[in-house]
Amino acid sequence: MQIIPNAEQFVEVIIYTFIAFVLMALALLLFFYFSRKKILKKELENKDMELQHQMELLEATLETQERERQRIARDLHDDISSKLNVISLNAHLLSSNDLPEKDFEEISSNIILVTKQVLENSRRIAHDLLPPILENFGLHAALEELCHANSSGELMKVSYINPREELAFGKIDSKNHLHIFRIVQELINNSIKHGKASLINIEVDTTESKCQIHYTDNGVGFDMKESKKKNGIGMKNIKSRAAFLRGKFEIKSILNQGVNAKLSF
Amino acid sequence: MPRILADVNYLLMLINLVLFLIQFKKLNKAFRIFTFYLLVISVIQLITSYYSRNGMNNLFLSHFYFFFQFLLLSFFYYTILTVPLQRRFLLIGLVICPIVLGVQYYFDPSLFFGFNLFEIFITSFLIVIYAMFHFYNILNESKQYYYLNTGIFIYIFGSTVLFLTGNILSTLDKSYGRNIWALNGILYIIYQIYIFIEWRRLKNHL
Repeated sequence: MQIIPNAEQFVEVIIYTFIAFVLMALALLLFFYFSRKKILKKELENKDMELQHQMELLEATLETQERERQRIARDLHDDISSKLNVISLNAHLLSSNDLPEKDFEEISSNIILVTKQVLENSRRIAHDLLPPILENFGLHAALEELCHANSSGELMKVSYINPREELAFGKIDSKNHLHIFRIVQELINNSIKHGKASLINIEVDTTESKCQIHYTDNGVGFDMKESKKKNGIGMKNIKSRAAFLRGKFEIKSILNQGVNAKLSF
Repeated sequence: MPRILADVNYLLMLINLVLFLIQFKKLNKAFRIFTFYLLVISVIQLITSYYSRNGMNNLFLSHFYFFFQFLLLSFFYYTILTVPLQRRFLLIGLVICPIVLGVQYYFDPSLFFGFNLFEIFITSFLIVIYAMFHFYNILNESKQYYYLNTGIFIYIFGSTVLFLTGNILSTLDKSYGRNIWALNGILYIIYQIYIFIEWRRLKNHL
């Protein structure tokens, strides 16, 4: 059955094809327009979330700073000012003329004793603020000392394993050593204070490009779901420090089964 | 269409159909509808092929092909589209389209014995729009039904243009028409490959 196609049929086909293409082009244009809008919206949302996260970190940093100031103020007031008062009072007594020899000796020995205490306290405060060993001997030595200082016989054992010693942290900017130190310090404090742990293990595992610190304790641990809701100041502090390191901090815990944390950067 | 190409088409189509049927029990609603679509289309294709091999005019079968394709793919998209506005648009299309076609055939029954350009255009174009809706929905999200949707999009749009010229092609000398139907055959193979990729992905998730 061979029919010669008539002009009408041709025109019809061309019109339909034309309409199909024009509508398709229109649909594509609309598609791109709305897609762009959707993608931009999503990007904006992500940026907002990032900003929010940064605000939270900043807040945590400021809060920590305020707390630290309070602590220093308290230390200065309790341990330094009050003792300096005692010294000042005693020094005034010394200056009176009719002081018996016996009293004179007692007062001066008292002054010496208290001065010693003030010196010791001011050194301790300075040490707490910035451990001199960190600056003088490096992070490995500081961590070693930190673990040693927190160990007390059989009651509390803090083990520190770092086969490459100071070399392990060689690649890391020395500015960041303090952050690492503080993170470990905070973890130990938490384990002792909240976890009631009696055994803490810290293991440093480094390669050329990566450094990992594994931290475990045998304390009471915590409920992950519960702690997510109320991220304590200590944990926020650790997270903001990890962010400064451009590293990753993960912590896992099961109630009554201790804590397992990993810092990698 | 060259005989060998047509045979490859049927083979791929049947393989996909069997693959989907085997997994049928584990499939979700959308994939079940799609399997049903594959089944119906396969049956229509086989009948078409039977008619053509016996030298009978099979053009009237194209109406069933386009209509069922439209109907079943609309159901498919209705289950996977999530945005209420898109679903409402789809439902309106699902109601309006058959009514308009019904009216058209009532007033001009002769349309039944050739390609009905309006029918081809409206049934295919709506599906292309739904496919675009889905592309839009999966931006920035997990790529669900991605391969299937891509296959549908490419095949339906490409074949629409070819089918639109169908009435003229059927009047040309057979050797010219054959070359152009070969294009449709190749497009169909691409479509079946996309369906197969989707099935592979699906199977890995089951």
